[in-house]
Amino acid sequence: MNKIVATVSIIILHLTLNQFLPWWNIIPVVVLIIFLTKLKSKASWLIPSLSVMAIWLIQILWLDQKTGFRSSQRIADIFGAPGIISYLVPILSIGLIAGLSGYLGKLFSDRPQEIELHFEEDMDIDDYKNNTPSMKGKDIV
Amino acid sequence: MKKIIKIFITLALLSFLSYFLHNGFRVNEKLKIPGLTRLLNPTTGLWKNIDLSYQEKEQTIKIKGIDKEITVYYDDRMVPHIFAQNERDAIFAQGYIIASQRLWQMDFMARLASGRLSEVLGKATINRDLMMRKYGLEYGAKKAVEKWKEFPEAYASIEAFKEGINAYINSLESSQLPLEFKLANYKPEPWTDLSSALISKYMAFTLSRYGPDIFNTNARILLGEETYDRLYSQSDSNQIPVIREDSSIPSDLRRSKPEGIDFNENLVQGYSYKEPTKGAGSNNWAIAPLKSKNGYAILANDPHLQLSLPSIWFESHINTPEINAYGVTVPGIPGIIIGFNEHIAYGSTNVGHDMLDYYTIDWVDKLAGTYRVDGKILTAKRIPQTIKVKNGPDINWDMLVTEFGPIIWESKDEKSKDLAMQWMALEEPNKPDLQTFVKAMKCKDYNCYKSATSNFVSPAQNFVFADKQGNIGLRINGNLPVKYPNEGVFLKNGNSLNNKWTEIIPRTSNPQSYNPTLGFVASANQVSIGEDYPHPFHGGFEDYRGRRINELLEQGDNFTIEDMQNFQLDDLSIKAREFLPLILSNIDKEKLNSKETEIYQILSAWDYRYKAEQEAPYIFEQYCMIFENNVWDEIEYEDYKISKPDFWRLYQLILENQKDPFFDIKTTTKKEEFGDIVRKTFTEVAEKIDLNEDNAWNVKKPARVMHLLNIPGYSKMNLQTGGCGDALKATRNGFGPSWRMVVELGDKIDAWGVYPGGQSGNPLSPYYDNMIEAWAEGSYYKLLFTSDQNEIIKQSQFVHQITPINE
Repeated sequence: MNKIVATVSIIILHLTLNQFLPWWNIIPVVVLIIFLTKLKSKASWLIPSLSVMAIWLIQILWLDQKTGFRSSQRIADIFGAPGIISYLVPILSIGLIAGLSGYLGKLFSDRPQEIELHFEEDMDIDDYKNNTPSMKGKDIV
Repeated sequence: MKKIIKIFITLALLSFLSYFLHNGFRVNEKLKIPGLTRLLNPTTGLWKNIDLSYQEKEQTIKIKGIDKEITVYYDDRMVPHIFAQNERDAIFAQGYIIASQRLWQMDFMARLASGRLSEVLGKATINRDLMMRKYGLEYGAKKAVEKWKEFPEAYASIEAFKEGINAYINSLESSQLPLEFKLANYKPEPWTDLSSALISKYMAFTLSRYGPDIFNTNARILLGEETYDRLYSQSDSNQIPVIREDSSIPSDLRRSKPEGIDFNENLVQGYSYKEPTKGAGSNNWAIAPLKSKNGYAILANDPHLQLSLPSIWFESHINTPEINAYGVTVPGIPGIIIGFNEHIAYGSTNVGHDMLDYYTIDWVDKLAGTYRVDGKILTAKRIPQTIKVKNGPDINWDMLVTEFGPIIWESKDEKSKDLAMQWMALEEPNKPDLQTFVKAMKCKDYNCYKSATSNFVSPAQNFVFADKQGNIGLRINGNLPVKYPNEGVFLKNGNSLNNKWTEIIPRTSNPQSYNPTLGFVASANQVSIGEDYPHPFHGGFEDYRGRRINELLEQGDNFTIEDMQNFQLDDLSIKAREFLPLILSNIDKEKLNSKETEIYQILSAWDYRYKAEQEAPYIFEQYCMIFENNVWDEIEYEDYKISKPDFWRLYQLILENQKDPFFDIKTTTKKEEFGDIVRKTFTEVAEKIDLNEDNAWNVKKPARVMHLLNIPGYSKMNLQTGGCGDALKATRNGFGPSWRMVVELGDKIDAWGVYPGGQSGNPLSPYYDNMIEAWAEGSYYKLLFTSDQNEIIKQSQFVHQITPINE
C-alpha cells in the first residue's frame, strides 16, 4: 500500500512543482515522501526512480509524437548526437537523482534504536519476528 | 555514526550531481556542456520549445497597449498578414509578432552591438565585446535615440514597436523562453529604444566600416607615391557607375585640402583590420515599362550579407485603412526595409563610399587623456566601460573620445601613434533615421519615397524605386561627407581640427537618376558615379557585378519577371571571361604533361559560370590565387600589412605592359614576363590539384548558413547552390543573397521572393529553415499580397485575434 501511496504522491507533487520550480524539486519531494512512507531499502530508491522516469518518458513521448517524432532528433542536433539521446539523458539523469533522493529519505526514516527498545521492553522474540516485516520467516541467531 | 556518514555522502553526491545537471560544466576553454537535465526537462526545458503554434487554427491573445482589435493571418510560410485599424496598432503588432518568432536573435544582436555578450556567454566573447565597444556602437546609438525624441511622430512608431516587443516578452513564462536562452541559461532584457538603435548601428558596422587607410598608408610609403598611384588607382575605365544619367542638383559646397601635412608619414605596424569580404554586396535594379514584356515597371533586389540562422530578414504584410505594404525588415527595426505596396516597390544595396577616417593622436598625457590639437591642449572625454563576464571577473576599460571620435587603436610601440576614428555611423543623425522604413511603406510616388529616405543617415544605401505609373529611380542615399580628393584614403594627422570633415552633401545633390533614357537603373555596389561628379569620393567598390547587370539589362527590352529572377541567379563571372583566355593563349598545349592537359581541357571547355557541380571554377580560383601571389611577390612585407591591388588593376597591367617589372619573380635571376608567370602558375596549379578528388565547385567551396551561435546541428552546411563573389549570384561561403525579391507593378502586384532561412527563429520549428532548399535551387515563392482579407483568409493556415485589454 505504501508503495502505491509513494508512487502516486511523488508523481503528483513533482508534476505540480515542476511547473514553476526547477527540475530538482524532485529531491525534496522524494526525500519527504520516502521519509513519511518509510519504504524499505530497495523500494526506497526503486519506486521514486522508476515513477519519475516513467512520468518523464510519457511526457517526452507525448510531445515528440506531436511532431511525428522529429523533435527528439532536432533537440539532439545541438550536441550532434542521435535522437535517442534526447530521451536517455533526461530520463536516466532524473532517475538517478530520484533514486539517490529516495535513498536519502530512507536514511532519514531509519530508526533502529526504537526497534531495539520495543524488543527489550514490549516484545518477546516471536512477537518481534512476526511483527517486523524484514524478519518474517527468519530466525534470529 | 555510520548512518551520518551515509547521509553526508548521499547529500554530497546529490548536490554535486544536481549542480552539474542544472548548470553544466566546462570541459575546456572552448567547450561547455550545458545543464542537461535542466535543458531536457519535459516540463520547462527544450521539449517545451517544440513549435506547435501552427496546429492551433485560431487563437485569441489579449494585450494591453492597443486601441482596436488586430487580426493576424499566418500563411503557409508563416508570414504574418497584419490587419489593424490604425498605424500605431499595426507597428505594435509587428513588434509583438517579430518578437514571438525572433526574440533571442533580437536580444543577441542588441547585446552583440553594445558589447555585452560576455555577460551571458562568458569569457569566450570578451574580444568581440571589446571590439564593439571600441567602435562605439552604443555611444552612437545613444546619440541617435536622443535625436529621435525631437521628432514626436517618428518617435511614436518607435515606441509602439518597442511596446509590442515588450508585450510579448512580458507574456512569456520561463518554460516558453526561446531555446538559446535556455541553452545559455539567461533571460531576455526588456526591449528599449536603444536596442533598436543598436541593431541599426550594427548594420552600419557590417556595411560601412571600410577602412584600409593604414594599409594604404603603408603601401604609399613602402612603394613610393608613383607606384602606389599606378597600382591602387580607383579609376576602372571598364566600370559602369551606378548613376549613368545624373539628375542631382549640384551644390556649391566644396572642401579644399587644409594647409600643412594632413597625411601621416609614419608606417604603422601591428594594426589588425579585417578587410571587408569582396562580393559581400548586393544587387538591385528597376526597369521601365519600355523594357518589360507586359509594359509594367519591374523592380528586383537581392541584398548580399553574411547568411545566418535565424535569418537576417523577417517577412511581414502590414494592412491598415491607410497602409497595405509587404516586404522584409531586420528584426528590431519597424516597418518594411525592402518591399512594396499597391503603388510602389523599393529596395537597397550598399554604397561603398569611405565613411570612416583615422587620425593619429598626439598625446600630451594619455593617462589624463590630454592631447595636442592646433597648438592647444584638449582633454578627451572619458567614458568608463565595464564588461561583465559570466563566471569571471569584470573587465574595466575607459573609452576615450577625442574631437575626431573615439580611440579605435592603441599602438603597442613608440613608432606608431594611437588612432582616433571619425565614422559617419557615430555622428549625431540630423533626422529620425529609423522612421525611414515606416514612412516608405506608406508612399505612393517617388517624391514621397525621396522624402522618406531623406531621413536615412547611415550606412549609405543605393535606394532603388519603381511605381505603378512606370516611373523608376535610384538615389545614392545617406549622409555623404564633403571631402577633398583622396581625403581619408590614408591616415590623417590629428594635429588640426581642420583635417576633419564636417559638412554633409545636401541630399538633393547626392547622385541620383529618375526615369533615365536607358530605361533602367541598376546598382551592384560598384562606383556610384563618374569622375565628373563635383564631390570626390573613394571607397570599396565592386568591380564586376555592376558591369554584368548593365550588360544584361542593355541587351533586351522584353523582360519578364522570370528574366529578372534569372538575372539574380546569373553565375557568370566577367573576371573569368576576361582573364581565362589570356591564360590559355599563353600556354603551349604541346608541352603539357597528361595531367596538365586534362586541366587545360577542363578550363578551355568552361563557360565562365560558377555552377555547383563544375570543376573549372575551383581550378580557376586556385589559379588566380597563386597567380596573384606570384605577381605581387614584390609587395610582401613581413612587418607591415598592405593590401594587394584589385584584380581588375592586375588585368589592366597585363593589357598595358606584359613586361612590367611586377611580372618578374624576385627570387630568380631570370627576368620573367607575364607569359612566364602564366606558365609557372599553371605548373603549380597542376601540382596542387588532385584530379582523382572531386573538385566540383560546391564540394570544395560549399555555401553555408550558420546558426548565430555556430551550432552545426542548427546550421545548414554544404549547400549546393553555385555562384561566386564576382557574379550576380554572389554566393560565397557564408555570404550571399539574403533576400531575393522581384516585383512587377501591374494592375495587380505580382511579387516573388525567397530567403535562405525561415520565419521562425526556433530551431525546433518546421519554419526555421524551410525556405533554404528553395533558395539554394533558385526557386521563388509567390508572395501573398492583397488588401482583400477574404483572399488572405483562404490561404492562411491559422489566425491570431489580438484584442485590447482595457486598462
